[in-house]
Amino acid sequence: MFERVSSFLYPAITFVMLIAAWQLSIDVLHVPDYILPRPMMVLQSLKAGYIDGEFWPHFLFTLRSTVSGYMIGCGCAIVVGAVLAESPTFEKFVYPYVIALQSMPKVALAPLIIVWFGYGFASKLVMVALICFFPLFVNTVVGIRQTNPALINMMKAFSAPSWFIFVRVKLFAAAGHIFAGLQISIVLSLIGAVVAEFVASSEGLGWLIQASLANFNTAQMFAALLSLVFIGVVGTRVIQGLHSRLIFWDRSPSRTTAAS
Amino acid sequence: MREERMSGQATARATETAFDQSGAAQSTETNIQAGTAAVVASGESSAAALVIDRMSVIYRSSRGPHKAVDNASMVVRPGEFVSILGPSGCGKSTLMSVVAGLLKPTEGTVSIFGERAKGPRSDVGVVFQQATLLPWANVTDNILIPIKALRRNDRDYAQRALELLDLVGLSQFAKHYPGELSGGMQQRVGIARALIHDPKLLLMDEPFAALDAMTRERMAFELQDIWLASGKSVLFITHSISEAVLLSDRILVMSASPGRFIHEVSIDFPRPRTVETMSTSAYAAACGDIRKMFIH
Repeated sequence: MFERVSSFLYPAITFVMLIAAWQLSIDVLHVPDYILPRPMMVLQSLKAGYIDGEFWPHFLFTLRSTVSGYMIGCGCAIVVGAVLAESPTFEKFVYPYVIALQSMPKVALAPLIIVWFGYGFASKLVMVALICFFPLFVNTVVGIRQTNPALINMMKAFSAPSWFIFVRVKLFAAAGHIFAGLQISIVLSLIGAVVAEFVASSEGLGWLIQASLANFNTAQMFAALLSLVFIGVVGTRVIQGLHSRLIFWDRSPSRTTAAS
Repeated sequence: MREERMSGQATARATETAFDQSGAAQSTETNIQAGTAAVVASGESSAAALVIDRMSVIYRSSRGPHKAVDNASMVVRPGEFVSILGPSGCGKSTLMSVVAGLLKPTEGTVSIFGERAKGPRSDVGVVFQQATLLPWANVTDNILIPIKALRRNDRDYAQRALELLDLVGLSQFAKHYPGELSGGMQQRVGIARALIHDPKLLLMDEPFAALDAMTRERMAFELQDIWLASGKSVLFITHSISEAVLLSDRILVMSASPGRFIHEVSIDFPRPRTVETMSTSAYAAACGDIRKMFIH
C-alpha cells in the first residue's frame, strides 16, 4: 500500500516544490516574462493550445510524422538487421558503410532531406525513419548474434532447417535487445521530427517552438515542450508495456547496446 | 537379450585386467579396435545401432591444430546401453557432436543402423549437458520441438507428449515454462524431448552434469527405468564412474586429450539395478577397477 502511495506522492511533492521554486525565483529576482514565463502563463498557453484548439494541428502533425517515421524506420531496421545477422556475405558488402553512416550525426542530414523531400510531411517522415533506424538495427544484429549457441545446436541436432531456427529461436532470443532498441528509438524519433521542423516546416510542435522565438513567446515554447514530453513519455510507456507483456520469460532489465 | 542380462552373475568383468603394466592400455586399445573391425567386416555393422570406425577429429585454430579425438572405434548394438567415460576435456563431447551430425570427423566414419551418417538424423535423439529448453515455450511445446523441426504434424504427437510427460513424472507441468522448473525437472523435459519422435538411438552428453549430487543419482535410476521401458540403444557420456557402472552394459574408457579409447569394461549386474546394487562389494570393486585406470 505504502509502495503505491509513495510512487505517486513523492513525485507530486517534487513537482509542487519545483513549481514553487520557479514562481518564487521569478518574484524574488524579477525575471522578465520573455526570459522565464510564470507557471500560470504556461498553463494559459496550454489552455489556449488544447482547449481553444490552436495547438491541435501542430500536435497531430508531429505525432503523425513521429509515429509513421518510427514504424517505417524500426520495421526496416529489424528486417535489414535480421538479413545482415544471418548472411555473412551481405554483411561483407555493406558493413563498412553501415559503420560510416552510423558514426555520422543524422541530424546534419536534415537540410539535405528537406532539399530531396520538400517542406512538407515527407521530409519529416524520412528524417524520423533515418534517425530511428540505426540503434534498432545494431540491437537487432547483436540480439540475433548473441543467441545461445547451445540452443542453435540443439535445434540442428533435431534436424531443424535454418529458417525454422531463425523464426523459433533467434527472433525470440533477440527480442529483449530489439525492445531495448525500440525504446531508444522513441526518444530519437522525436528529436528527428523536431529537427526537421526546425530546418523547414509550416506545421508541427518544433515549428511552433521556432515560431514562438519571433515574438519571444516563451510561455508557448514551454507549452510546446511539454507536449513533446507528453508524446515521449506515452510512447516509452507503450513500448515498456509491450515489452513486459510479450517478453514474459526475460525479467532482466532491458539491455542497451546502442546509445545513439 | 534382456533375459540373459537379468540372469547374469552380479560381477563386473574388465576385458583387460593388467592395469598396472604400461602395455595394458595399448593392448586393450587394440582389442577395441579389433572388435570394431570384426563387426565392420562381419556385416554385423548393418545391424549395429552405431559404428564409429577409426574416427579422428582435429580442430584447426590460430595456435595450430588440436587433436580432440584420436583414431576412435566403437560399436553400440541394438538395445545396448554403452557409456563413454573420461576426464573433462578428453574429447567425449566432440565425439558426441560428430555422432549427432553437428560436426564432420577429420578422418574415419560414423554409421548409424548401417547407414553412413552425414548429418543430423531423425532416428537419433539427443539429450544435452544443459537442458537447452526454449524459455519462451511451455513444457509441452518444448517436448514437441523435434516434431515441428521434422515438419511432422504435432497434433499426431500430442498424446505421446502426454505419455512421455507421465514417464518423466511431469504430468502436472505440461503448461509450465522452463523458468518455473528446477534443474532436474528441466533435464527431464530434455529427456522427454529426445524421445518424442521415437528415435532408435539415444545420445546423452553428460545429461546430469549440471545437477546436484542427490538429484543426479535419482535421475540415473529414472533413466534406467525409461531405458528398460523403451528398449532404445543408448550412447551415454559421463565423467562419473559410479553413474557409468550403474547404468551401462558396457563402458568405454577414454584417455585425456587427445581422446582415445583405452579400456573396455563389461558390466553385467542384473537389471533393474537398485540402490542395493550400489552397496554390493562387486559394485564397489567394479568402480574401483575403473578408478585405477585414471589414478595410478
